Amino acid sequence: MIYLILFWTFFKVGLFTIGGGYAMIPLIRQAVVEEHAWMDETQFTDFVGIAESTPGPFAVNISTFSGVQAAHQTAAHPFIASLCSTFGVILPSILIILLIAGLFHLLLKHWSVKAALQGARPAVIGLLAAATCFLAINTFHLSLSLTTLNGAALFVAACCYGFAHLTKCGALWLILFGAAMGLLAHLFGFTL
Amino acid sequence: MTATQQAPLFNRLWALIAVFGKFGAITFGGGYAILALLEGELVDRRKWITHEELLDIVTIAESTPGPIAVNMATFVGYRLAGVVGGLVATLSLVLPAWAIIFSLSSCYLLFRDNPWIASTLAGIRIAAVVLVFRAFLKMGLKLQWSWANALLAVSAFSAVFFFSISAILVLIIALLFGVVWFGCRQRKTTPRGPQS
Repeated sequence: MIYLILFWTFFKVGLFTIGGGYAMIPLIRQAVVEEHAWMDETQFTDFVGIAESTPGPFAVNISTFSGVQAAHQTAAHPFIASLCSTFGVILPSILIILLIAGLFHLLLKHWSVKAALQGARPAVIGLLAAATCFLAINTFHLSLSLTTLNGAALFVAACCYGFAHLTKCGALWLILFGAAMGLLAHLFGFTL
Repeated sequence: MTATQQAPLFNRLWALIAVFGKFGAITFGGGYAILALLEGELVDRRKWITHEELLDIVTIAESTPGPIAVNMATFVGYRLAGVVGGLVATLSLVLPAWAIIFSLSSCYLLFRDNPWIASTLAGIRIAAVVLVFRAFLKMGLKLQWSWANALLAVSAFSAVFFFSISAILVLIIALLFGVVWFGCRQRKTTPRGPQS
């Protein structure tokens, strides 16, 4: 039952996302690329870019996208599939926040909860580093021999980083800058 | 609280739909972008919640599981109009975003093979990698590093990158490690009793 699998997969993602949307990327990547093979690494990176350059919370956008893509892969109905994934990702938030707001306001001040979160934060950073590596290997065609390395893509990445660093722009402008660089690359005959 | 209770329930629900619907449909950026919207609408204009309450809500939304914006919507909605308010605010936030992505994704499948679109998407992909890298840098620089922290981060990285261990399992272990390591050390150095 693909709808239940989608719901359960994204329910787990929502439950274990600590520290906002980006912390979700490693979890979703592992689930949709490695575990279920609903999309390949390239499509996943596309979705990260598109989800970041469309309005609304990043987490909701990328979950909806994954649901639609999984439906296409498994011949399910994309409408219902995307509702399942999106509802799955927000349900833990609703339940936990209503519980905390209603009853357990003091729970967050308990030493064990604070300590647990203190442990989760560095782990999230490690997970983000791993996700960056996976995405970079795929995007720049990195390999140990370095013969397949895409120089044009690396150059665009350096430009993107410089642009974001100098202008201190938000994610939307960075993605638009990347899109413009992609268009220019095609115009000059480079393959990214 | 009195100003909140004086306003009719319908008005409160409508304000929730307006604020969170606007964020879901037209505002870019993550959970922090919504803070400015809430501050202007609910704190300054309507005075339904105080600035301090809003900061408390942000702290809780950050430190509980789930997307920050969704957590904030549920919490603010609950404060203004109970469980119904929490649900209304969350749905107003999610439904427009869902509808936009749902329509966009069919365009993606139709056009991604066009060479111009394909190259643009390749540029977007590269920008997305840079984005995730910058998120990693930002979170990494914000953290106060110690030996235990560094060990945790490196172990989490190796577990997922080299050994393909489930990221959820890694997080569960990190949470438990946090309780044992940070929890016990703090309790040794601070006297027993209610902590602030």
